[in-house]
Amino acid sequence: MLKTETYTLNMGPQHPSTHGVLRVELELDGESIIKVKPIIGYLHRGIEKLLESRTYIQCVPYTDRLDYVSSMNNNFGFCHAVEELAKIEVPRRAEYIRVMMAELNRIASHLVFIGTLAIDLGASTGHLYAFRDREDVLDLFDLVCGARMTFHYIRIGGVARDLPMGFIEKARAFIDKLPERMAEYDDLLSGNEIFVCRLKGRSVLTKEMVLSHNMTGPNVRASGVPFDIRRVDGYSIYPELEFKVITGREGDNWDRYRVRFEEILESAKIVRQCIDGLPEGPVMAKLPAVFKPPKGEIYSRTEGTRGELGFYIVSDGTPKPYRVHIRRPSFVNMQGLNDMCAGYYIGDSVAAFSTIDPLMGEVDC
Amino acid sequence: MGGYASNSKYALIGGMRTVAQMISYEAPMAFSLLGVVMITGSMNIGDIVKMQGELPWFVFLQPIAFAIYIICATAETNRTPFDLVEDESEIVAGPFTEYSGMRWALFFMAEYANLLSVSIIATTLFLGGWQGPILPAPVWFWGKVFVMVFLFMWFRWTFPRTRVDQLLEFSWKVLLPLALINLFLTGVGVYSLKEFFASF
Repeated sequence: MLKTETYTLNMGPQHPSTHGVLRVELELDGESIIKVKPIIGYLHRGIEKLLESRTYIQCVPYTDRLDYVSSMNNNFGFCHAVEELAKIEVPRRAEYIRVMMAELNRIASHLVFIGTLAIDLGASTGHLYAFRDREDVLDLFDLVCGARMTFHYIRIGGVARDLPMGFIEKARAFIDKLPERMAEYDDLLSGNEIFVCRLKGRSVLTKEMVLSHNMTGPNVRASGVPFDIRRVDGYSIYPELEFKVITGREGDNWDRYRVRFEEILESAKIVRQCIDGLPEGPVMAKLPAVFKPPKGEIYSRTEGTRGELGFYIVSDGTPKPYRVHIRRPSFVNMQGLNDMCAGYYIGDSVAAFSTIDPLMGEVDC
Repeated sequence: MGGYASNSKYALIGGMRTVAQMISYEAPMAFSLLGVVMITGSMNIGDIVKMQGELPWFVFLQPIAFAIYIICATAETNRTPFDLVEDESEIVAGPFTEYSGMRWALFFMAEYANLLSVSIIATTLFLGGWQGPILPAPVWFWGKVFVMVFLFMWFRWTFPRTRVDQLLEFSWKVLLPLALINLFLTGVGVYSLKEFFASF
């Protein structure tokens, strides 16, 4: 009599391939996965509660620590919400700089995605190549605000300071060489038979699945839903810019990789348009010495690198927010993990953790 | 065995994979080497090398066997694209997960010794062993061995790894039939050129 038993395997919180401190409980039958349960909370810092005891201006650096791979986008999201709440008019030059920074950060974040996907599949060279290019973006940020990780550059009412000398040339040089670099990844990764075989047709998320899980960002676009808040809501100066919303068809790991890959090039286009159309003028709106938004509440969403990044702010008219809730895209996307892994092999689960692209700083908040 | 002893699930999975991988890659590897043995008619390594002095190197006579050997050797030595046994992104380090210190080092020294030995076998059987013009024999021999080691390490850094089902499928459905066909063709060749080979 042959009897088989399922067993439980704990992957993480210390494990080479879970991004950050994600712990995943795998229910396994030999090599195949029956059920996956993500267990979160290892990086919880209580940011939402912390924000309640800070003034709005002081809140901004905390948003850096949410999704620390794309801090600019978080700064942008929070400041956008507060500005909508307080009806602040942001100078046009500041809007251009903000969008430029957000898109550069999107490039950096997607490069990290490509790099980690490569290393999770065992291709060490791809990892190093992607991080090399991310380094260039970080150098640009270093010029702008002196930091390479937690920027606190986008402030309520504008940006911290104007672009430094030489930034435009350096940014342009980076954008010019990016397509060449991307062609390298195409050769090294997309052109590799093993890489393609590992990703194609695995961890399929159908349109219905992503919609029922309320997933957003590149993950939902890979399944063929053209949902991009930059296009749908058209906040900031995005309606004036030309860019394509990239979508996939199958919703498998391969599509999720391709969507991000193409989005890097689209973001580069946006940055180029921002550089070309950069108007002159101030970069900061006039704010009162003690900034107090009027009583009220707002939910404002922007397209973060991982999906819909929303801030729900309740103001009671004091300098500190009464309550802030952050809709973190990684956290919501995490719901799709079981559907992505169940029925596939352990090897696929690693690719799935990678292509869902969670960031624990954001999941746990 | 070492994996099972450490009583860790990662090690257990790694151990199971080792067994599957060893069995499925041992067969095509043996068949690929048989091609060489059929041509030389001898299992004596000295004879095999000597014959490569008179015939062209066997990498040219037996290119398919050489390719199969290289692939199987990467799998045997557990190096990427086939390093599913220690597969650091999935099962941490496979059977070696719970080891540390000198015990762990022993495993890894064995691993590198293994890498060196498959390179040496490839050099002897396919690349003409110590033979070559001008330079002394040891230089040629070790030069060739290190070219092979370089090749394996090159694979290791560039390629992503396969999945376990792809690995086994590839061995049984592609490599083994290919090795058998190669063996058959070699047999036909050796038989029809009997006179020619008899002269060595």
